[in-house]
Amino acid sequence: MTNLKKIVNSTKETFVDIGLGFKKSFKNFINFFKVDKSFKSMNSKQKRHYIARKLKDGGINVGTVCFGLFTVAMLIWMVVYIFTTGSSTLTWEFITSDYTKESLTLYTGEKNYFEAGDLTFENTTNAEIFSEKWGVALENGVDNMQNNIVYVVHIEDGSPFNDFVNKDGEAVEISDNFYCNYLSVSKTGADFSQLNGSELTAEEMCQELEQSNYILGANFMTKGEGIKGSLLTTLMLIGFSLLFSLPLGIGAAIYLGVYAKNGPITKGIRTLIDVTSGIPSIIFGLAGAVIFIPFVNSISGLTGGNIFTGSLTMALMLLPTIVKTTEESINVIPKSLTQASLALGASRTQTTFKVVLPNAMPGILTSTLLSIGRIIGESAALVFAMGSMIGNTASLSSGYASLAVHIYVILGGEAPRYAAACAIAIIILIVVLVLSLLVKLISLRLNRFKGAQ
Amino acid sequence: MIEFENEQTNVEQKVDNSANTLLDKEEFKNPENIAFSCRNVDLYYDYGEKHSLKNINIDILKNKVTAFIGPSGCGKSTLLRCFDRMNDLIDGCKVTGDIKYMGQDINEINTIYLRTKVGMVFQQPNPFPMSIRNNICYGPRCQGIKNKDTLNKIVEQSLKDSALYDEVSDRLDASGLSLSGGQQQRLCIARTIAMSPDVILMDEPTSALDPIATLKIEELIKELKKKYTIIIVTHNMQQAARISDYTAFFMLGELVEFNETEEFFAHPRDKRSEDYITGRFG
Repeated sequence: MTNLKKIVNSTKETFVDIGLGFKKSFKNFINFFKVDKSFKSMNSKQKRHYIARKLKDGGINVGTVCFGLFTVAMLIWMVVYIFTTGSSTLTWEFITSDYTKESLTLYTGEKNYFEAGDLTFENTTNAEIFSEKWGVALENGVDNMQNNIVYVVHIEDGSPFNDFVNKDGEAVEISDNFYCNYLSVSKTGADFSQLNGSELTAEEMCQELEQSNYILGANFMTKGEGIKGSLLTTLMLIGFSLLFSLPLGIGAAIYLGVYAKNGPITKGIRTLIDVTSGIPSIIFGLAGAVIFIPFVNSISGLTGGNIFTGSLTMALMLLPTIVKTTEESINVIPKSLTQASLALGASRTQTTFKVVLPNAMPGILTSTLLSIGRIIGESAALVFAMGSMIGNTASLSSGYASLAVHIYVILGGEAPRYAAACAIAIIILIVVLVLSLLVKLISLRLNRFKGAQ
Repeated sequence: MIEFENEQTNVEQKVDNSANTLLDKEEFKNPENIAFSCRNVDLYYDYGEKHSLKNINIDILKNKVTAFIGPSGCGKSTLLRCFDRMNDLIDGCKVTGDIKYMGQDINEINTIYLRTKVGMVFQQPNPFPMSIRNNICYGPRCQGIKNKDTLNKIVEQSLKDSALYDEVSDRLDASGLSLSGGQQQRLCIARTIAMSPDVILMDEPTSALDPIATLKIEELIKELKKKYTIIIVTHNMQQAARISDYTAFFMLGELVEFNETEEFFAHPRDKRSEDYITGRFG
């Protein structure tokens, strides 16, 4: 709880600082128009110099404030754009539904049509839009791409809608997540018209139904466009990447921080790690495609990229961060603690695992959280090392797209889907925000050694 | 011929030095009384660049308090760290000569066994950032003791021995870092006692403490003397005079004088010891 308070306080201080900064620059701005009292007693050369300097200083001050405001405005604009564009798309259904649409074509059995009788149905539900002739209640809805669709929310007992069959003549029940793509109807039996759910509202469709005497067929669909598969793939990718990279990275950090002597080889390794952390991710993607895909496939017999190749590539990318952060947190631990442990007759390994590692835990956690953030945000490397096909679910054997790659895919092509991309971006932004808050919370705990030697 | 002469003078110096530092007393003659004996010990830091201990000859008696005094950088802490081989941890540190623990060369004893028998208390109180109980259990657990009853007994006994039991018995699960400085230092002593060592090395244990905490530690040392051999490094001459039985005075890496404490402070044999005691330098 105290940590939470600290975070709240530090956030407050940041805002106060920003506010004070603006106040200061505002004062400068006002001062710009004021003239010193000593101005009158100056000679002409001094006056000219005074004015020139005032203009120059004023210009610089205005410039810095403008640049600062511009930067803040751009960031705020980006976040606001993402949230306003994506928030209506971001629903629980969007998160949990499949990407591909499931289509259900319905037939009318042996007679090839349903005929409306003379009887009318009574509306037994609260639905407003109800066709008395056919005994169905309709409702307006939107799909995950913000298109209007029509749902069949209720079918009365005895309604012909209960008698739909599939291609093989088996009875079909229309479940809730299907919406009405189209209905084929006829007024006289000789004409034919298709009522498209995407073109008509529920009210219009109901009117058309009331006027029609025959139903010839129908097509129902699920919404699709969901991100369930990509989300699961991302979670799986995080799990496997950490599984591969954490033991390797922590092991390397222990070696560098505890066992290795400071020689040219150790220095070389450290330099290499520093260099590796600056390599662009697309090159890691290349390495993944060239090295890991053939390697994993020759062992497992899979083809193409899969979750293992992706997570191995990500592990390679994360190693420098993990090694560096962990080694730093190992170096922060006071030498007196390890000496005390050794003086008590503990072996070096016992000291490492009982004293060094527990105290380096905050650093390890920080690097883990940073790594998770990086895995979520990575797209370029994964396009090559894992795959860019959007899946309906996660699978070990095939390389489906992660969330970031999902954005890459749906923004490509002829019709970029900005709303859906923004909705995914909101998820990523929130996760990254939560992670960075956690990192801050943990790094507060790291400070407890600062006083000790 | 000239070289030969030089060697001759060297040998003479060594003999001369050891006359001042090895005591010709009855109790030093019996090898069973001696915990540590050093013969011709030299120590170099930085791969031989810095000669920090020069030809040290000293015997440490069992169940006595031996104090090492001397100005900063004179090598007293360095010699102390030789006794439990903590100098091995420093890169480029080399020790030559014989150091024997209970008649056995310390380089032939397993480091871990040696460190369980020779405990060490450091200058800064350095409890582990864990509970008081776990701080004390740390050493025994590393030796493979897992039985909870045994561990609880060890905790109780070592806290009582270090005169800390009454103050912390009701909060054994509180963090070791939550104690005051003096309590932390006594916790470190308790942690060392928990290993049931023969020798306790203390490297300026009171230099970071206030006078009252110092007094408590000094009383504790007088108690501990009955069970353990204690070697204490201190800057404080009064402290050495108060608590120790034997005092060794170091300067610039040399052991200048080693004698019974009363004798040393009353009648220093060496001019340098006299100057140091009377406060003419240092």
